Amino acid sequence: MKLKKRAIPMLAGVLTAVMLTSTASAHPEDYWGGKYIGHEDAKFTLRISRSAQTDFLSSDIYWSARDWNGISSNVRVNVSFVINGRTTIDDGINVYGDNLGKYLLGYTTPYDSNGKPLDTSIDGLISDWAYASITMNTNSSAFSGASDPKLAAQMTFVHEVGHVLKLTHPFISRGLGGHTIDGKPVAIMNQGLPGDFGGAVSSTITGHDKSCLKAKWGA
Amino acid sequence: MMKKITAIITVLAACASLTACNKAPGNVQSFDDIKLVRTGFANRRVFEDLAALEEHVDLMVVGKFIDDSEQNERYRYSEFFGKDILYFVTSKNTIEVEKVLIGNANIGDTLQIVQEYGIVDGDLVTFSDLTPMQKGDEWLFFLTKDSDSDVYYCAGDSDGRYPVPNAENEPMPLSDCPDLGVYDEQNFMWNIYNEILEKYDI
Repeated sequence: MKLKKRAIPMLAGVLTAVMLTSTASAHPEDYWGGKYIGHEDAKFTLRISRSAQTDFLSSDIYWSARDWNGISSNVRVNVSFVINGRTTIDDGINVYGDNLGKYLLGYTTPYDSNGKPLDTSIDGLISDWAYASITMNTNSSAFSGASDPKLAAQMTFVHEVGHVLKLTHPFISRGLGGHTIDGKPVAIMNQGLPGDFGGAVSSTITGHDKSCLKAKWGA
Repeated sequence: MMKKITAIITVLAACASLTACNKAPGNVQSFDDIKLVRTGFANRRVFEDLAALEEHVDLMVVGKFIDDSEQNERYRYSEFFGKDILYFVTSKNTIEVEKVLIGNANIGDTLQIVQEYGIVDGDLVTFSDLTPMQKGDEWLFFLTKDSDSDVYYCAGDSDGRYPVPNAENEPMPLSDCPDLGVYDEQNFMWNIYNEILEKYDI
């Protein structure tokens, strides 16, 4: 319990650092260890529940999750919408919607095999997850600080799918140069609204995000 | 001097959205033996400096946590597990205003603040980077009012609550840096806090 939040992903990252030969910009702190129980890859369908489908959170926002495809041969993301209580799949990663207040835009929760939320400061970072769910904020005012609130919602959803793919919020190092702004890698996996921190919060998947995904799941 | 740790979270009712109601565990007498579950990887609004916070919030106040909390657990059915699973929990905490720095409030007013944590099955489950408040704690809050109710939110979660320099808050055994009110120092906005201390007498 005394381990710092960053300590464990750093340890996990060391194990996968050997995979970085072709992905030089990936930071090993920027993705977690472990996979999903019973799976070696990350191929799943996002099941968009009725609660997540609103006038503001429209289907085009959710289709953007497929932007993660074509980066790693071991990653494939599909999207299925629940309509009239039915969907084309029976399982998959559930995407819920709820009023989460004014600041939380969306979040991803990993679960253990008993359906209990994992401690993301410890277990969630190194263990195999049984399952994960995404919750999007249906309170559109939370996105109102963005110059383009729809784009902010889309960015948030792609960001959360990145968490399902075990990518973290990028590690900030003031000494880093190159593809960073004030030490913060330009990435969709940064927290905030698109354009925050001098543009480090990207509205689209960047080279840094791609390199981390490949470092995690293979090219 | 250190005060004895007292209760913080009294649950009046925790009614899961769309699903079953859950009886909450009641008062937490001590956090010494409670298990902390920090869960949920989030994207949230962030504030880069004090000016951004000042411009955004309805209230900037020093307040004391005075009352037990109302907790709301939310569950949804998971086809994967074949049962309802917890996906969110919040607590409402009542503070008494002791000093007003920005906004329309008076000393002695009470405000309800929603924060993203609660006691579930005996564990402290939190979606927030902020540690739970304990009765008698004093903090500096940057607050915005909910558009549909009389509750307030700390702006940007951990961007919106800071220590009062001479407060005698209870130690928080679940945190590596309890004086800052966060679990990890990396979640504390030192740049904003330093700006606050330079600009305001709190």
